[in-house]
Amino acid sequence: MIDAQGINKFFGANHVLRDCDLTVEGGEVVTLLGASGCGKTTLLRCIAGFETPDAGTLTLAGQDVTRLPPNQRDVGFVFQNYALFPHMSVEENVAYGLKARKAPADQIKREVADALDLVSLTDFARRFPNSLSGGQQQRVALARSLILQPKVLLMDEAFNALDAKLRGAMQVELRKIVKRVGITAVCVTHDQSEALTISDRIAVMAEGRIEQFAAPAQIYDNPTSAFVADFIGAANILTRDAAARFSHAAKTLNGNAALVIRPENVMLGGTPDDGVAGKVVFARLTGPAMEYEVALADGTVLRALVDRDGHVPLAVGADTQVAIRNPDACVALPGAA
Amino acid sequence: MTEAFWTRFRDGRGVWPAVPAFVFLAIFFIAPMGVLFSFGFTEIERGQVQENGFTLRYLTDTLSDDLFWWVWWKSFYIGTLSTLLCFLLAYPLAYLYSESGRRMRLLILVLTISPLLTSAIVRTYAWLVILGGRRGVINSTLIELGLIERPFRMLNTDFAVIIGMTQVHLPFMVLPLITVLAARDRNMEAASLGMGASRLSTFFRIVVPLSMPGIVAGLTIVFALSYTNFIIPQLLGGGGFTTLAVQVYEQIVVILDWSKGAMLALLLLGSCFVFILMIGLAGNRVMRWSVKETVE
Ligand SMILES: Nc1ncnc2c1ncn2[C@@H]1O[C@H](COP(=O)(O)OP(=O)(O)OP(=O)(O)O)[C@@H](O)[C@H]1O
Ligand SMILES: [Mg+2]
Repeated sequence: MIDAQGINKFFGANHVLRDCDLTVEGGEVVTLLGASGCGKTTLLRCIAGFETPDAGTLTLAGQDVTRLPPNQRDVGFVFQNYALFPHMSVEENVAYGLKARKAPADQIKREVADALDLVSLTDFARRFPNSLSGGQQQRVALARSLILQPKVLLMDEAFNALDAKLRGAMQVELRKIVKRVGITAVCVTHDQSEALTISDRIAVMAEGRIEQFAAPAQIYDNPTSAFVADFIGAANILTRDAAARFSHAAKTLNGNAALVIRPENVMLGGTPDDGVAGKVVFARLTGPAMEYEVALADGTVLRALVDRDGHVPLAVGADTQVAIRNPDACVALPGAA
Repeated sequence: MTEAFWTRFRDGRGVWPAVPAFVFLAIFFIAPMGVLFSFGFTEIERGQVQENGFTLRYLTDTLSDDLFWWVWWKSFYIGTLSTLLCFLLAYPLAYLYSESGRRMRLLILVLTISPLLTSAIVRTYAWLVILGGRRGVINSTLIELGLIERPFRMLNTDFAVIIGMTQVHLPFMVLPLITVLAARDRNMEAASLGMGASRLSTFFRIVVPLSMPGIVAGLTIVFALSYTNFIIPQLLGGGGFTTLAVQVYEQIVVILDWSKGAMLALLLLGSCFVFILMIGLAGNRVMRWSVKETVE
């Protein structure tokens, strides 16, 4: 459905997108994930046509649209701050695209009612955007895009303004709506749990590059770079020397430069012969698990997530043994950490 | 006078911060205006206020005078036309400014403001040179080129007055428009284009309505200036040309009929306030209308 090849974008001397390739199948939900300023919005705006790439080609549904203006692409866009029209009511905002397409009045009326129903905003039809809550505005923005039944829906951090609870609910809701309507969606976020919730595939971006593009489980279990491992799930990344102290891990490391160990794969306690001695330097309760930071003798600090079930909490300063629960779940990386 | 009073005074709270400006205006603006307007209701002979001189004669005489209404209409239509002309010229310029890079913006700003650095009278005389009779710049050029045989009458016409006013007041329309247009949220237009609207309809349905505060400000300032200006009609309109503002000047300075002049000034100012109010209300209404349109 979307096929972006070798997209490059400069703002002055600032090289914001570097050779981005992104292929999205029809009906798929893809998330662009990355730190602030890495170029997520810019890539999304290139797909929508609000920016023109300096190099590369963009194909939507088989048509080359690289140089096509946004009003000739069949793309819906939900802005980072929603960009609702303040001088129009909710109803008018939602009707805007249909009016621009010169749809007949009775059709507009019917479809606007349906769209507002879809996002449960029927009672707010005559209100103005600035009298709505962030979540309501977000749903107006969504309805305004969905009503045009675009081939592609692009959403830029659409959930940012919402509180944690509403955000979670809206993410699930969005995935349902998108799957029900069957459109192709590209979302931007820097919240990894949001990415894991709504995506079929995740593209992790760093400094204008797409570092890895794969299914969520694949990204989580098999990161291809230290950046991805660190960004998703804040993994421990050990250098070859530090990793070599763990006898089990040496096999997995297999001559590579670094080893990725997920915090939940780190085991504390146990007997001296199957672990490495360490000292707890930080302890924190995260709900179902305890999170620790443990310093090894050489100064390496490991993060550990330990299930609280049957676990006697360790105090800061306590000595403990650090071991790897499942060496096969560790990932070796060729590049330096 | 209690301690609390002095505390408030010292902390500059309440209305105190407005007091210096208020005192200044009271002495140098409100009081003289009050005195002037009171002349409109007073019999004055040879510069002496008469005893028991209160009268409504000037008010009733003026309002029943056909000439007054004719002059008022002239003021109104000259003011309105030059305000609209200003708007039509200023909006595209302000829009161009908002779409330009730094250099172009600086250029537009300098060109807009620089006429303000010379006095309005000097600029009005410059129009005399341009529009003037056989030897005016326009006529002499057209005659030289052989396009016309006899000079157009441009000076001493409504046209000359409207052109002069438009030019002199253009900066006051451009500046508020630049402010709102340059600060606007570009994502609004992107959203409109993204939903398939054309550039033209995006301009009229999104950009223009959202710039309404600047439009109202510009129309208000320029109308107030044009409606009450008396120098430009006098210089470019010629001897027989008159507006309400010119009449005030002539009654007070030339004919020395202070009562009549004061009454005309009062009517000019009062009607000006009414029109400004109407522009403001119309602005609100336009916003509301564009908002209610599809609610049906
Ligand atoms: N219009 C612009 N002009 C100049 N530089 C820009 C422009 N838009 C973005 N940039 C720069 O491009 C880089 C990428 O910006 P972008 O908005 O794509 O980041 P992002 O990944 O969406 O970040 P965030 O998560 O904070 O929204 C940034 O360094 C930014 O400063
Ligand atoms: Mg962004």
